[in-house]
Amino acid sequence: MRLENSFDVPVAPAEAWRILTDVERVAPCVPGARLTEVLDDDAYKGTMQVKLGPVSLAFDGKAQFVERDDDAHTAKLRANGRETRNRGTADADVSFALEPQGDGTLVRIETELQLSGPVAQYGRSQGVILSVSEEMIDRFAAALKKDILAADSSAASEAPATSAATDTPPPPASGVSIGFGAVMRMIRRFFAGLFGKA
Amino acid sequence: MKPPPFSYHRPDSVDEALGLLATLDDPKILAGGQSLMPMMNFRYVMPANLIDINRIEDLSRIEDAGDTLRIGAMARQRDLEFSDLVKARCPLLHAALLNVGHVQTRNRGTIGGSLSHLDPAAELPAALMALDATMHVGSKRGTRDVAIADWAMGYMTPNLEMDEMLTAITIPVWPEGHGAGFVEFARRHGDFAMAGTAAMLALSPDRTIERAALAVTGVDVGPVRLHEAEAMLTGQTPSDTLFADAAQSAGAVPGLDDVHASKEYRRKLAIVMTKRALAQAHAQIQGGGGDD
Amino acid sequence: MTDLMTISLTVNGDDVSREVPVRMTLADFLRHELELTGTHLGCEHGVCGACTILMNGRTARSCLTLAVQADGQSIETIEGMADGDDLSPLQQAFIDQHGLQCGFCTPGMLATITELLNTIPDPTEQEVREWLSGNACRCTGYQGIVDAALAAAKTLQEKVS
Repeated sequence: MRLENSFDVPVAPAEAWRILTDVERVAPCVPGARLTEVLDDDAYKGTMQVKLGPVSLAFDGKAQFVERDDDAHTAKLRANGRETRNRGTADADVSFALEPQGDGTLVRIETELQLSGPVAQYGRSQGVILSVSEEMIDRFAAALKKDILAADSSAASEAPATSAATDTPPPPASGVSIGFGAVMRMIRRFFAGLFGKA
Repeated sequence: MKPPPFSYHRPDSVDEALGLLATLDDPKILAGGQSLMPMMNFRYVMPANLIDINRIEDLSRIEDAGDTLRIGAMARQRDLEFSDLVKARCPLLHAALLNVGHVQTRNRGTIGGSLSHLDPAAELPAALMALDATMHVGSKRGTRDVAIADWAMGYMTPNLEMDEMLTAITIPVWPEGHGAGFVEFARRHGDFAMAGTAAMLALSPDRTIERAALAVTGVDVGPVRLHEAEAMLTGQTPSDTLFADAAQSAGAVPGLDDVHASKEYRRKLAIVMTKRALAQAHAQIQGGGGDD
Repeated sequence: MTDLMTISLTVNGDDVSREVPVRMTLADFLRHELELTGTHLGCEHGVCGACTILMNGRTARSCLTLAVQADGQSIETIEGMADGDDLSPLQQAFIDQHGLQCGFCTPGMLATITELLNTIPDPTEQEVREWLSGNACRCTGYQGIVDAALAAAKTLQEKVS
């Protein structure tokens, strides 16, 4: 399954790159993710909880940078995760690229996602995965802007550029999912794989 | 293909059920079980605690409240299908029910269960969307009402907190003489619909369309109301051409991609289903009401 | 976490009482606890209809019903349909009309048609097909089953009059 997504951040590409490649720092912004181990070699181990409607999935796995160009601001990440209750596996090749957009940066993400086992068979899951993944990206971007970029810059307020009635991202990470209180958003496409942590 | 272990609870009252929802870890309500049990048999859903609400009598009433019908969340689909009250006052609900699963699943399945499970292809949410129904939600913290338009939060995620439960649904009744239609497209009768439309029409004394309501299922995470089509229909004289024109706007629905149908195919289906549902609703007015 | 619960219910007119794991389905209860293996499992997710039984006179998927939910209820299975060696009119009609070959779907079919004829004593062919849409058959192509349902309807009506 191929997924394309993007989001913008209100800082210049070099700065955005610095932040986004600081995996330990951005991992808490990914909904449901927890970084458990930093391996040498630009590799990381972690867990990821995702809720597809009533189905709660927990993945355990590893992500590794397989390509990285700090000048061109592009990178490729390979992530592999196993569902902890034997409901399958997820493998993702995530390519991302930063480009300047006005005063900020547009982050483009392309993911090749492969699911196997029950998670792949789960009903009519493709449409679901697309929508859930877009929601995750939105929440990630919102958390990034709120927790990291706002803290970094001395200017406090940030109106997230992506259409957001969302604005109160839930406490990032540690398990449990896209619960109701958090997001009102209706969903569109895209998924950014197991972006740097799972 | 067997459900995983869980702790089983069988409350006798709504109050008891809400107490359990508030205190238990990882609880899941078991209503009709026709959607939840397959998921548990597949081990997609593995709740630690199952709260069986099938013994709570208060929850299954079907009441005539004047301009509205008040239906308990545990009203069995089969009872609603066979209810003369529902057939007379809310023909759309009756028409939708005939498309829900099979006789055996309707015997156990409930209206509340269908709304809470919120499968993208479910018929009842679309019917209730066209009907502008209101959901009544309860918890230990109190009750609240949710308009159907605010019910779907995401994929199979209704507007319910972890400690809340749908208890009843109020449906505003359309005037006598209105017509309803429900048409869906599935590979076999009883399969998940690829797209389906719920339609209602009411005519003015001069036989133009006083009011129209249209909602489509199977094309998004929740039912989609066709406001544009409704606006096109209002005030116009019913005709096949009018219905065909109005149905075109159904092609703008988001659509869903999966192994059964592509987004584009679903959009096309939505147009056809809308046209047919409108025709069905109109035929019901002409056939039943004696307006013609 | 194998929670157990004692249930008491009526099966084919007999009172039974057993302690069962709460996660045991009614289908498994009938087949393993009571050794009534006439109720078959085809899909275990509610779409094939092979496991269909009657609970309080209404058909239900026994693979989607927990045994504990049958506590206090009255269950009828295929084993209760004949009267000793005398087949019910519906069962006889199935034989006469070639309504079965391998027999796997048959108990579910009989349960469904039982409810059908109790609800609509004189169904049209369309109504029969509509009612049977929740029971899959791989052998017969359904025509024999439909014929059996219609023949049984006729027989039962004649008995009444």
